[in-house]
Amino acid sequence: MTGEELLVVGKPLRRVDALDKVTGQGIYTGDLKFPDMLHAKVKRSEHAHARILRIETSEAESLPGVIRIFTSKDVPGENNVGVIVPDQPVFAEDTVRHYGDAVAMVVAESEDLVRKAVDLIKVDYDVMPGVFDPEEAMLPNSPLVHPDGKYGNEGNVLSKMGYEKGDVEKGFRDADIIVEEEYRPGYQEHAFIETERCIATSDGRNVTVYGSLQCPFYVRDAVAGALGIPRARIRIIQTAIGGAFGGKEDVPSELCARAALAAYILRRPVRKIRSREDSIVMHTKRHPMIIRHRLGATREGELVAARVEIISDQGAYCSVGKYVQKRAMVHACGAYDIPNSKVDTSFVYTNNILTGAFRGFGGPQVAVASELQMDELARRLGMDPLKLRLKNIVEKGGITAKGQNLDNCGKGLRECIEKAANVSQWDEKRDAYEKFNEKMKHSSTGTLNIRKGIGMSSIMYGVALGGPTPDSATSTCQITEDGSVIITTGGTEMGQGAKTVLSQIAAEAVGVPLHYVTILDADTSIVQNSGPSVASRITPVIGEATRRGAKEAVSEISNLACKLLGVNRVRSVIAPDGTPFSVPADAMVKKADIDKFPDKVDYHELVRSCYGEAKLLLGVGFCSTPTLLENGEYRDYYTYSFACHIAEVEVDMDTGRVMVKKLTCANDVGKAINPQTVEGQIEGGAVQGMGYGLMEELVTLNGRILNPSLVDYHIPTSLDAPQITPLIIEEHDSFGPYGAKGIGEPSLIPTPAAVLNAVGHAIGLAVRKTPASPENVWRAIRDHR
Amino acid sequence: MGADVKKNRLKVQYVLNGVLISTMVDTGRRLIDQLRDTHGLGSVKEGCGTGECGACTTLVDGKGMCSCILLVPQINGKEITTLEGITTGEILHPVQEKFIEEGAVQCGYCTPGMIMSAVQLLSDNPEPSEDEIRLALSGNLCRCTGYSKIIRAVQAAAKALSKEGN
Ligand code: FES
Ligand code: FES
Repeated sequence: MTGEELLVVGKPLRRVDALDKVTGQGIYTGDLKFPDMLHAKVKRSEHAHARILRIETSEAESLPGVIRIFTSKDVPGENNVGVIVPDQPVFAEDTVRHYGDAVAMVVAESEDLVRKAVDLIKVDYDVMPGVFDPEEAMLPNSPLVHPDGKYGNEGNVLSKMGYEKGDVEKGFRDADIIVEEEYRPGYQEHAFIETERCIATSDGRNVTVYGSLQCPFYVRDAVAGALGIPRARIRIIQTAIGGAFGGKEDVPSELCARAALAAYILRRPVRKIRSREDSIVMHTKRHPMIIRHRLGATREGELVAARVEIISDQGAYCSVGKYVQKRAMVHACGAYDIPNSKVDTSFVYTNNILTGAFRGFGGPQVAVASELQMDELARRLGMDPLKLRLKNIVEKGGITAKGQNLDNCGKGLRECIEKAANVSQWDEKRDAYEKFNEKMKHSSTGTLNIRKGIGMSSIMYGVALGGPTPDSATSTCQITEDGSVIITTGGTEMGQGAKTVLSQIAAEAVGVPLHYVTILDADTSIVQNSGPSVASRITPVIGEATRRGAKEAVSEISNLACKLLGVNRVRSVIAPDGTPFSVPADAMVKKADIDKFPDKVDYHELVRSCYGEAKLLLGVGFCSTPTLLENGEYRDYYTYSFACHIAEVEVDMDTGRVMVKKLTCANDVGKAINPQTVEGQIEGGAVQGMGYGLMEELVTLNGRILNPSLVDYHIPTSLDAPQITPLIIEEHDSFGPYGAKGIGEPSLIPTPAAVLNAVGHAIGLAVRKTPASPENVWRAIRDHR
Repeated sequence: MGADVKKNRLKVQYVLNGVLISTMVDTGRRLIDQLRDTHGLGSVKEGCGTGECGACTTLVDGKGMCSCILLVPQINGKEITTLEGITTGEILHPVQEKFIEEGAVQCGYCTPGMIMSAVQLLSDNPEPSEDEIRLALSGNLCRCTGYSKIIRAVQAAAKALSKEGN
């Protein structure tokens, strides 16, 4: 792979699914039709914490067209789901623990009917006191969410994790300056434009579920558990997905378990489409965190110690909370070389909406704290934030704040920072905006009272699941008689471009043009469990399995080509008309001259000959991430990708309104398999991150979400989104296919902090309560006066 | 509106993607359901059902409207265009072409509505500025792309259309 010219990888080729999507022909779950299909909707809890005394369904049942109403009593298997601990009921049994709990489900002939019938279900509750603040929840006498402690929880504390490296006390004693602040990054709602949905069918023995889902194997396991039937009798088929971002990771488990239950018992197709309100009220959110961050440095700006304490609101159920916790812990001190560091984290049950997977997995929250700390430190030292960062970043051969030896990566960060600073003209603008602001302070004209700011944030991101969690993927590649290629993997296309990227990897490995490759949709009865489509692991991990499978599938073809050409190694050249040929590996021939080049064999001939000689053209690719070290210890993550985002803003001092004018986003992706889709990931992630830092605010009162609609919960529109300059940095990784690392999450993680730091630069003080909404910015300005 | 009312059912007429339709509907029938379920036009997507997201944007007499908050009787006598109606056979509309070329599509769920808003913009204003494009698309939420490539696609489509026109 080194030195050789790549045929397909690294090119901004058109997405394989684009044509379907621009013509409206893509099949999403809502586009599937089955004869005799029923509809389903749940009755949500009406309290944050209560005992269920009675569920009265007779009136709802008497509506003509209502087929049946399901409650916990109808679940034949386990009435619990949960990827880490099974603490979330399919249907609430005797207790509801948050407003999103499902108490019952109506199945009826039409959508209209299910809505009507749900309103006719009456539930008597004995309301119990709830707990809505994670710090209160840790106090001895607070109401308990899971009183029996079954899930490893102590009181309401689901889990504690932490580490200490070096001698933190001594570190702070040696510091000339200490910055100590509290940050409160809040919830974030995924707001995918397509809400969660699925359709289940069953003949009373086998069950098939079609759905908008990120992790089909999570769903399979949840359905098997709820129905009490073997996994082999369950088939989960992924349709096109209208956005996921972590919000369709484990969320579909409960949804699909309920639909599957109804289909299994009624033997009719059952469709469940969440309304926007059900979606926002019921599914996991980004974890809000209280982060107390203490950072010590020398007068020269060298970091010597960090102490971070994180308390996070887990809501009523664990979901993937402990994974988020681990990631938050490892990344809590940022991308810096800090000799002494100590981090403690507590994730705490409350009666609020449960929190779970969201692009970044705790990364954006801890970056808000660590990156605002860096700017605060820079301010106090009178130093340029860029220089302070460059002085302290961890680089190849160094040791992360958590203590991992960066022996295999670490050049990308400096490159990201320098490139982003250059392109955004950091030095010039920092200066110019300060002058502008100074002038504005003294101008008393009737013009808008505007301040300008430019701010940055730089991060590292542990790619894939991280040790010691097993992280492997499987993929098969089959080369058919006409030379076309079929790939299976358990990875899912959710809009990020997985199918295109995996197609490019397979095409490159086989040596054929992109359109030869077809990636099958994930179907648990056909594809292998490749682990979840999370943690930015599709390109590096599932992609590597795909590359290996494709290499194996093409090996007989290469052997035959070697024999015919009388050489030991061959490579592929694709002629201008698209025909692939094998040529000796060292042949000096360009694609344009291939016609006149004698030493070549047509790929199609090779395929035919292989089939004629009864050779197997099938490959199974398997890989697992190299997190295990020789000494038996695990790396936190097998590699890191790096990023630096720079934001430019204008702040209206009278209203607190912030406009983000520009984002310059440098992301190290190892190798951009498809630069256009990488740019798309960077731009989309950055705007989602900007939304989190700037405007997205989920308002809750005693566990109730007060703004469960897209009118009241604002995500960025085309008017809010700024100019974005994506910059691709490539520090090749030795494990990933063609050097690739992940991009899904590090595209979002630095942006909120970059925006907040730009606001800080503009108004001369930090906004630590996010988002930087007009209200929060205005308050910060007022409190300072 | 000249429609016959009979037991909550109405006779309505409209032109859908160039074809005259004359049919009886329930008075409360939403346009989006009529398009998706009766006419099988799967491009019309539902993201909220309350006029918030723009995924269901459909042209009504050339104006982009949320079909999830329109009732079929309201479009009596009007001309309706969906994404299916802007392609001619196999030939894509320049906006569709450029959405593919510029990489403006990710999950694709907002795409049909987004394209319809862009088509309306370019027919009203063949040379829109970037600000005008941003304004015209501001009723169509996209959670995937950050809008950059969508805006570039619309700019490229405007150029392509003006060449075609010459
Ligand atoms: S579905 Fe019509 S605006 Fe959202
Ligand atoms: S492409 Fe997914 S919402 Fe726009």
